[in-house]
Amino acid sequence: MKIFSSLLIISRPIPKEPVPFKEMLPLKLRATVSGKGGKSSDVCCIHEMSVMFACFKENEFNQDLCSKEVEKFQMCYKDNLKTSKTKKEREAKGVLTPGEKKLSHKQLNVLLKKFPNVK
Amino acid sequence: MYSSSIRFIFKNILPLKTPVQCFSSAPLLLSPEKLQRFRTTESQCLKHKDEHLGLFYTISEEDRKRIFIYGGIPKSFDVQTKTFNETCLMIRQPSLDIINCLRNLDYSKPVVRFVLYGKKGSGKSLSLAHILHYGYQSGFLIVHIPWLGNWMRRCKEYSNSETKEGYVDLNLDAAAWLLNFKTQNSHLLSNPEAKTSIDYVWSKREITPAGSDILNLVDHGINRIKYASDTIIALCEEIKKLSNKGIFRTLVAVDGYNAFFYPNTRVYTEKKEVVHPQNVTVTQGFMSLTNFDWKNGAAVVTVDEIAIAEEDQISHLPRYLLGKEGFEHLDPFVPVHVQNYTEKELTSCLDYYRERKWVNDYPGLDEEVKFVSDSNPYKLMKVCAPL
Amino acid sequence: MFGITKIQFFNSNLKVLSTIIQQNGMSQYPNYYIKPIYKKDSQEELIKSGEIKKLSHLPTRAALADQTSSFSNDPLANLLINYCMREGNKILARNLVEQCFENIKRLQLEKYHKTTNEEDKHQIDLDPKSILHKAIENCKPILQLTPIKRGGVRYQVPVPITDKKAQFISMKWLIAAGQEKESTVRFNLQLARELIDAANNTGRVIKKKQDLHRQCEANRAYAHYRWS
Repeated sequence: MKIFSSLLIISRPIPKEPVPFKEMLPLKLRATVSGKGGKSSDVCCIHEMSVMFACFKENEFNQDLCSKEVEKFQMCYKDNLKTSKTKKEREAKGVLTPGEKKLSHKQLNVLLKKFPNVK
Repeated sequence: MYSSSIRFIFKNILPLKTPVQCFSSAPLLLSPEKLQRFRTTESQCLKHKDEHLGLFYTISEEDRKRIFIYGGIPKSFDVQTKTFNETCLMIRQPSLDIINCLRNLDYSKPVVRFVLYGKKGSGKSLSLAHILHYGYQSGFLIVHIPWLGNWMRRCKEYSNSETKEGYVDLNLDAAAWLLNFKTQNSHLLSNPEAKTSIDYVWSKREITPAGSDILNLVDHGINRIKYASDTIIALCEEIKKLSNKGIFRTLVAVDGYNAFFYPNTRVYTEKKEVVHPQNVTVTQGFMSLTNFDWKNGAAVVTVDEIAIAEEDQISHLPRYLLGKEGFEHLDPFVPVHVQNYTEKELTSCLDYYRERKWVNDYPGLDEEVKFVSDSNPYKLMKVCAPL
Repeated sequence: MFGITKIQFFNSNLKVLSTIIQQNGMSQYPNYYIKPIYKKDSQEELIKSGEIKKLSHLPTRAALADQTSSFSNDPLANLLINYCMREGNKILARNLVEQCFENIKRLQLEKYHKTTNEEDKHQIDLDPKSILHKAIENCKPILQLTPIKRGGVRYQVPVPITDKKAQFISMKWLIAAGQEKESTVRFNLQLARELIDAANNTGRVIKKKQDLHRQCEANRAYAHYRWS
């Protein structure tokens, strides 16, 4: 086996340190951002949930006595759903609002198109 | 292109041409007068007249236990009476007609036969129940077979007859019927003149001598189940003789009489051959009772499609259901047609359901239920069940 | 050439095709067809508000067979019938639910005739549809547990629930409780008993809901694991 591997040295030489850099693809950033990659999603209503659970424990899980806390929790969840829905719609269109910190990939692509990398 | 679908939805809303009744969404509270519009306090069938048509009257608990303990009230209606906590029957034209006839009959002439016929669920069995109640209250001797289908198509036990060649006995059913007969007529059978006319020899040691009470005969049949069917035949002959003498006035009531003439029974010989109803011992007794060779009595009979197999349920008319034999046996009879509810009867029935809190009221209930059930009493009951 | 089927072509080019042909999944109607408004009172409201002028020019879907304008038609009852249905046997499902309502009425009337106190009599609900509504409302859970994988372990995380999903779960539990019975008892009778119990806030399904809430309370520490 060693004889064969020494024969192959001619066609495929062992690389010597340091390895010279070869430019395979153009050294240029893309003008777009991909939409993949999970976003940290809504971890909301935890405070309301814990309040509700405290009430439940006191009243032995009798829902009638905890109606206020339950309502607050459900309202919190509904509001969150609404806001995330409107946010998603806006982000999907790509409309930019000034002063926004977290931008979606579509909004970023709009910005990048406006200010491309000039070369 | 879409105009047809629009018209379908909106044709009821666009400028109204038909008058629309305005109902409030509050539940209809029945005023006391309306509550009594469908009821009558007259529980004596003797006094039921034309003005009572379409009204409900109550059968008392003890009457009900006396007359209908073995049957006579259809199962689905029985469940309703348990839910409503009372047994109320509607007074309808067919039963009132027959009761009027029974009141005015000349009982010295041969027996008159009435045949109640009608579509499925139109109220034949309950009309018969009303007539039976009248008979009981008027002091008739009641000979009542609650549902002949139970004997011919769902018999409890069948065995070859020992006394007659080629005949089959239905002994358990016969014994149960004798007990029922005794309960229904116990107040009449204690009459001292009710005695047998001839000797009945059952076996070497068992003889019912002539001149013994009819009650003894009936008890013999109940105790010795082996001879129950033969006892029934003997009893039928005795009843005819006693009626002829004038000791009893008899009312023969059979529900599902056409089962005596339908060949496809579920009674089998010990060799698993189908037995024609005329070869069942008990049949002979009741056939002779519905004959016209005796007097001082009446026979009211219903012919029902449900008493025969489903594949042969083509027509509800007597000539088809009785067949040639049955029709010739019963001819001449008085046919009485039991029809679906009239407007008045339908409103009365729905008012009764509302008062018993069976139906949750809403505007338009009457018309919708009338349309869906076609005013058929049984279908009306079924349609109102989930409402 | 490649042997690509029509369906594969259709599914792979859905986005392109949807701009050309208006489609809506497996529905026989394009998505701009509006649902029929079949109740008389909602139709009258539309006339009053004037919205009918807009809607009358839009194409509408055909009303389903169980959407009638009668007052006795109840959308929740129709839903229950659909959830009870197996293999498309709507006739059997409808009969079962109708018999269930009949049984509810009989059970309640029995109680009604037994109580002698007038006040108690008014408390007993004799309308099967209102009992159904109450039962479904009482059995709706507030949270559900979803399995979330973190570091190789599957945790049951309590998560808030939408109203429609809660209603669906409640009805599914009621039907399942109706099926857990002795073989001599009928499904419609058992379901009737379960509905009456649930409407009174007792019984198997309420217990199941409370057990779920207890588990959620026990797992509340994992609530932060939600999708982060």
